[in-house]
Amino acid sequence: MEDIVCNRCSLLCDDVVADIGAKEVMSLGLCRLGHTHLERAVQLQGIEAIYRGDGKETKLTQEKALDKIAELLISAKHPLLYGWAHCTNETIIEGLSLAATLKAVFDSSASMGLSQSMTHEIHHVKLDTNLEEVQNKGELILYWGSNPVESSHRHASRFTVFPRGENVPQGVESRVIGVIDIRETETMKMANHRIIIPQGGDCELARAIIDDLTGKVPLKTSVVGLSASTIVGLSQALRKSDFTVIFYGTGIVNSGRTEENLSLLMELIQTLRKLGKNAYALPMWHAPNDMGVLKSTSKLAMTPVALDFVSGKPTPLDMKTTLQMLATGEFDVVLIVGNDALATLPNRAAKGLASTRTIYIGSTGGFTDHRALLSLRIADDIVSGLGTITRVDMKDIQFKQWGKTKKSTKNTFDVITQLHKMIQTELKK
Amino acid sequence: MAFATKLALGDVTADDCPPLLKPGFEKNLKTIRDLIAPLQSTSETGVKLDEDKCTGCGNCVVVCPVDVAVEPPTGVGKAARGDVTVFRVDNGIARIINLEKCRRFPPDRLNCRVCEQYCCTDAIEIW
Repeated sequence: MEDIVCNRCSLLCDDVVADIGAKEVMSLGLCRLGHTHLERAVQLQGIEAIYRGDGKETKLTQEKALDKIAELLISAKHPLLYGWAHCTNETIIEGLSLAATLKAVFDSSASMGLSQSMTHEIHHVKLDTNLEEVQNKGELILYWGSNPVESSHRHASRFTVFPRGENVPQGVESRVIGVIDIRETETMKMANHRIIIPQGGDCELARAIIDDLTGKVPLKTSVVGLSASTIVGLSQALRKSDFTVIFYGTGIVNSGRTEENLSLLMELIQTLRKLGKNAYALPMWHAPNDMGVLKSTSKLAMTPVALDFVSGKPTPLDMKTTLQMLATGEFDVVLIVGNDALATLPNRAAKGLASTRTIYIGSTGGFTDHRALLSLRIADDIVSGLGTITRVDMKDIQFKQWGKTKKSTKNTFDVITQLHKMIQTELKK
Repeated sequence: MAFATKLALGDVTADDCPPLLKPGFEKNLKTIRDLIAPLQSTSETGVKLDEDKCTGCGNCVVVCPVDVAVEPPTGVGKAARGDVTVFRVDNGIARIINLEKCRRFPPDRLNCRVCEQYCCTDAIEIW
């Protein structure tokens, strides 16, 4: 068994081991998602390229595929480089550099909610905590609009609910767990406070809790269908906790009231801090390296959003979003790296993408791989075990190399670097 | 309270309590006998794990007091990597690898249900 780092979700488990044979994988500690991911990555290690021009599929060598990709990108008037959330930080930086060379737009799936939340002022109120600190100190864990049992299986067992820590020696017995969602979720099974609210009711609930904490308005009537005692119960738990962490998810960010929801969560955190408590908010996002994308883009521009390199300098897209531009067919070539964009984009953007010349570079499988004009299938980064990825709490995690394949496997970084060099050489001619 | 603890541990039976044997307490005696009957007769732990429902989250590994005692890193959320724990996540699914160490077994015979309580997908059932 060898140490590995799992890149199936944003937790990036680095305490797991695996014995990896030619086609068979044995693992200890990996969750079902992680094990399936590793198994699939090992089975699909080969590099393969397919071109779907002229109504037929043609297999290409890797070199010919890269030539064709370079040709398509150089000839593009308005290219988009999209995806990246499953790539290493090194690949993302190379991708940004490629976008600058091509004067392209660079964007990722992180712009669908996460970047809005990370640029919101909620993340300007000193939220400098991490999952290890939550494990050691978190007394009240509140999952708000997030469901880790389905998306990040080991979230509760590894960091937030069950582990014993410095200030929580009995683990789950020392902590209070709350779950707020619009339906009964599996995460609620481990919660002391299970709160089901109507869709869009987050603001009213947050306001009621804040009012109760500040004592401005005595809570006597029900709010969003919840009895006053239910809300007061949660509010009292928040008041008692010395270290509260709110893990907010897509329920908060993609519910249509993002700004309002996040502002109220920030107000709740500040209210708790005024009461002398430690309180933090961390996002729950499941793509393995959304945070790496945000980290890298924020080094080039103050705000981690989609960047347009058309002027030669990285400029945040402000008039339209990438999704709107995809929907209206404003890009003539789209390079998608390590992301099944057709499966994850909203309907109109996906339709726009489907009718655009698309190049896919990433692991085998998915709609985008099967629909792209040119697919360059390469092994997942877990196979090469090289590079760095950024965990959901912004901590950088180094991949670990394993086995024989580490010496020979070409990873996404190698391919993007080679492609970039080819384009630079071509443009110099 | 001390008697109740001994009763829960299986060290004594309801019939060891003299007041319960007095006339007028027949109903209480029967209720307590019925309550502790499963404990008295348990020779197996009664823990069932449905692998189809299991997501390999590892809640059972971390929450099991035996696991924490025999492989302390599991207590701080690390994956079980040895072969000494009751639960271990193998190939993405939790397995019971040392059932005989479960505290429900004799001699402890504790009515511990912590793994079942915190299994979010209801993969663990204690009957």
